[in-house]
Amino acid sequence: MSDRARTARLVRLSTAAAWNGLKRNRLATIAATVTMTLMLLVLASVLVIRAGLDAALTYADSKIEVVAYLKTSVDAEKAAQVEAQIADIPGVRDTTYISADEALAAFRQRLAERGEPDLTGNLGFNPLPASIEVALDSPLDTARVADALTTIDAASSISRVIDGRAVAESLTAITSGLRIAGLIVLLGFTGAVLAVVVNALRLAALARSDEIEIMRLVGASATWIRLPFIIEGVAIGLVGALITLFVFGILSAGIGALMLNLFRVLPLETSAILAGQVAISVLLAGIGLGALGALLSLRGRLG
Amino acid sequence: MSTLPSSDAVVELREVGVTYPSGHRALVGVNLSLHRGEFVFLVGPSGAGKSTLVSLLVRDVSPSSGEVHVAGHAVHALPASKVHLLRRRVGVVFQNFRLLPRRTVWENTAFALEVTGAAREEIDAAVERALRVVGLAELGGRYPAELSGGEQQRAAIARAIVGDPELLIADEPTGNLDPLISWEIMELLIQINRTGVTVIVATHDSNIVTTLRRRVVGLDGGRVIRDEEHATYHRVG
Repeated sequence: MSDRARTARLVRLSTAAAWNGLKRNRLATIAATVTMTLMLLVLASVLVIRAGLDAALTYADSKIEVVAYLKTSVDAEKAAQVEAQIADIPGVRDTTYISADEALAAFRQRLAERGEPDLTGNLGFNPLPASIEVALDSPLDTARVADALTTIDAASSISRVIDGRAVAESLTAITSGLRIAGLIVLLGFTGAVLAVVVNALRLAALARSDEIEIMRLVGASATWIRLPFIIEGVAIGLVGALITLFVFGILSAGIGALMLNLFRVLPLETSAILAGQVAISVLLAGIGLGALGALLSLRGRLG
Repeated sequence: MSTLPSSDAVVELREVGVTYPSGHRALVGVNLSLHRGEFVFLVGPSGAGKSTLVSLLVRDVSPSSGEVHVAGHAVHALPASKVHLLRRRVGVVFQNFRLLPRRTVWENTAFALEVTGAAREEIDAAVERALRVVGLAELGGRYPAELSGGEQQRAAIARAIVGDPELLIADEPTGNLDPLISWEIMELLIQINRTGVTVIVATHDSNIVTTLRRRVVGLDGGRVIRDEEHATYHRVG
């Protein structure tokens, strides 16, 4: 018999043995699949929530900026020189000149959106100064860039600098903290999934310990003994992952709305990518943990 | 330095020692040579080292010292990944039969070849032959629970010989059987031995050993204390 035919026969017989094993230990199989599904649901939830937090925090990071308010005596030409000098400061990603008229128009629009009365018409003049909004490469640059604005040649044209230093520092701390917490939670759940699957498959292996012992005695190779159990583990992981994705598919509309509501800023166009990443992660986690659990459950039985 | 065993030796042990992790010395300086086609009784009191010797021959335990050659394999130097190749050349029969209860006699016998990846036609022919040798050709469709003790041991022997082993080890094969059935099993083992298979029978049954007058290797305290042809055995205690 050729090697290919032998391998095909090994896979066929192992699949049949795995199927018989799953049927024979129906209760343990169901328990393992349910546990795997629950754990994968938690895993998927953690992934989605972490993605939402990441998106929200990244968005918030990008919104932190420094604003340089110009003196009323600064005309448009001078303002362009100030803007050019600011743009040259290291760490500055972009600058936007907001004229006094544009600032007033934006202010009136915000009042209208809130349904509040616009009293600025009664003033007879525009009380708002022109400004230059400075977008940064990183929120960590906030303090340095704000300080630099006071030392540039055109500093005398600037009346006031507002920076999001405190916001930047707290958001950076929150971002780092949440990323570390997310990683710890993920590692914790991975360990829990592994422990549950190993125990479930160890029970299955225990139920078939006589069969494994006989297989060893009559000269079955380690691959031959392991393969049915690996197929069982992979099947449990795959079914758990498919159930998880099915449940997530049903709940996706609700989850999407919840995410938007919770994080508001989650960009809609990333939802498909996120769903794909969650699907791949859940499938790989299910299959990988099932196979790894099978291998761990057979430790010490193949001597 | 390791040297090859003599050409017709199926089992050759040279200064073999086995010490368990607990410190118990199960075998000490054992030298033993079994030739092709021999029938040997392995006798001795409980704890003498018989089970350890049987386990050693299928590499269920590894020697702590010395050399072990079985069916062309240098067992003492055999990597774990090759142990299954040794076990395919050695058939083993146990006191408690160790049949798989959810498989028929035919399936139990075929199991030993299925795990080697043999072709279906090859398996069918070998199983039919093995069941005919042990006298169970008509009972292949039965499950172990539907068989008598003697029939179960015959099924276990069929599984042990279906792969044409060079060596057949029977560890207390009549321990669970009544005297009449025990003799039937011994006659079957002798019949298999006549086909050229080397047979080792580990037993406490002095009646069988003394009646059959074959080579007797006696163990006590992990050492070979006797090795005689056409010998008798009188159990002490």
